[in-house]
Amino acid sequence: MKEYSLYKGMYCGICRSMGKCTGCLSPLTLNYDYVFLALVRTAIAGEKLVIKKIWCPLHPFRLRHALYPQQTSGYVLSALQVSAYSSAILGYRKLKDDIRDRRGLERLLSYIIFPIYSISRCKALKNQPEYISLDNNVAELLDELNELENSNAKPIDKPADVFGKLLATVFSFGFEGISARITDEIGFHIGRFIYIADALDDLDEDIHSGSYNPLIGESFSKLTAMSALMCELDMTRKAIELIESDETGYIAIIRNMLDYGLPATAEKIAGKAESAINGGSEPT
Amino acid sequence: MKDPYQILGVPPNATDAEIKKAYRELAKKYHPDTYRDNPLADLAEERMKEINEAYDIITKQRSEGFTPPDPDSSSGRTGEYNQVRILINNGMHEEADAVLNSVSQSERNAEWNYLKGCVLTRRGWYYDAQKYIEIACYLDPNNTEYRNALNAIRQSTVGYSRVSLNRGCSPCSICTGLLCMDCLCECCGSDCINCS
Repeated sequence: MKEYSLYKGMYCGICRSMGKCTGCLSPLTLNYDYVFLALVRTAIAGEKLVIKKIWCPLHPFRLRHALYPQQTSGYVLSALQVSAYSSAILGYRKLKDDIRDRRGLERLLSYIIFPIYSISRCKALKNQPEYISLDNNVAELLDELNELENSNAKPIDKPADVFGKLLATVFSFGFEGISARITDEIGFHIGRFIYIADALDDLDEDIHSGSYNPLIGESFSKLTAMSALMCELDMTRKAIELIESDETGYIAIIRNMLDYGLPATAEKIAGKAESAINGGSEPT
Repeated sequence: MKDPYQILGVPPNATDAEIKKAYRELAKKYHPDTYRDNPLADLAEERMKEINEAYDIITKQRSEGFTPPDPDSSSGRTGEYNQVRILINNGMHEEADAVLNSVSQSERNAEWNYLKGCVLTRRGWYYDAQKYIEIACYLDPNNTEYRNALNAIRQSTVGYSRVSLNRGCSPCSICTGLLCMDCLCECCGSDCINCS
């Protein structure tokens, strides 16, 4: 299966896992971020996945290839299942924050879709009580993050570090020894990358709405933004290179994402932030 | 230790230039400076050590004028002798030989002969090794792994044979030498070769 097909197959595999583990509506909440999580965990665990042809209601005219865990459902730490449960737990916590922080139509929409996330999380914790500790750790770190954001914390590295620790917890969940150290490092730097990228992406909107953004009021240049993001990707890459795995197909996809996909995203987001600053966005 | 060629990510028949290039790329990737102040610096250091050892092993093997056949080459490999291949590649030649010797005569197929040849090359017994690898080639003529191994031995012994022919003694030169000595002795009053 070529790399792109493997990548798509992983997405479909997580979607199927979610349908089985966290409820039939939970796949609607899936995004491609969890594919990276699944790829890293599969590579480092050397997990064997099998390809199955499936029919998808969202793509009814052609069968799709999905990756499945080779072992039976008793295997609680299959990368696909960890991604499914993490999506349920993180999604629920994030939506709770959105309901608290957002206003107007966005808040209403969050309320409407909240039951899907709530049911997904409940099913996850009921099916696999092992994930309760992950849920508690995530809740604790999110509370710490909320405190920093509510106190208008700057510079951005402070809250980025907390979000990095949060993803490190998810990436390294269930691993021990060297695997835990490597996944912890990958999760930490990818978490920081995501937090900084989100802050840059939301900068324009936050300036207008007066919402918290640690970059508001800080000196900014596109070069600084890009350097910060590329540093995180570089640290992630160094950790990836220490994975000893026979699953070279997954490592190749991860490298591709770190060398091409994510830098392109960084470039786009940094450019958007530069436009927001240079465009002279005025706060309300 | 794992197969040194696998560690460097090159096939066993890679050229010296390819091996050097692969080593340099890996050394750059895992160099201590790259992982300075990194929490995973100790893991990178271990990886660097492994790469240096692999490069040293390959360089030493090749400087001895012979590249041993790599039983891990995919062509011709069957599951039956996987254990023997792993033992050979980990430097445990005596153990590998013991496993091979435990196989009955009637079951000694082409792969058995090839692996026996590999064990003997690692021991430096190239003459005997050739014998077994030749048998392997005879039993499985289409197997490129066995053929490559035989060619590798023969290329390294050809130079030695030529040197032997240039410097060694031929039957003619031995007779000539004896005749000369006999003449010399007779001139001095004694006889080296008595013709009567």
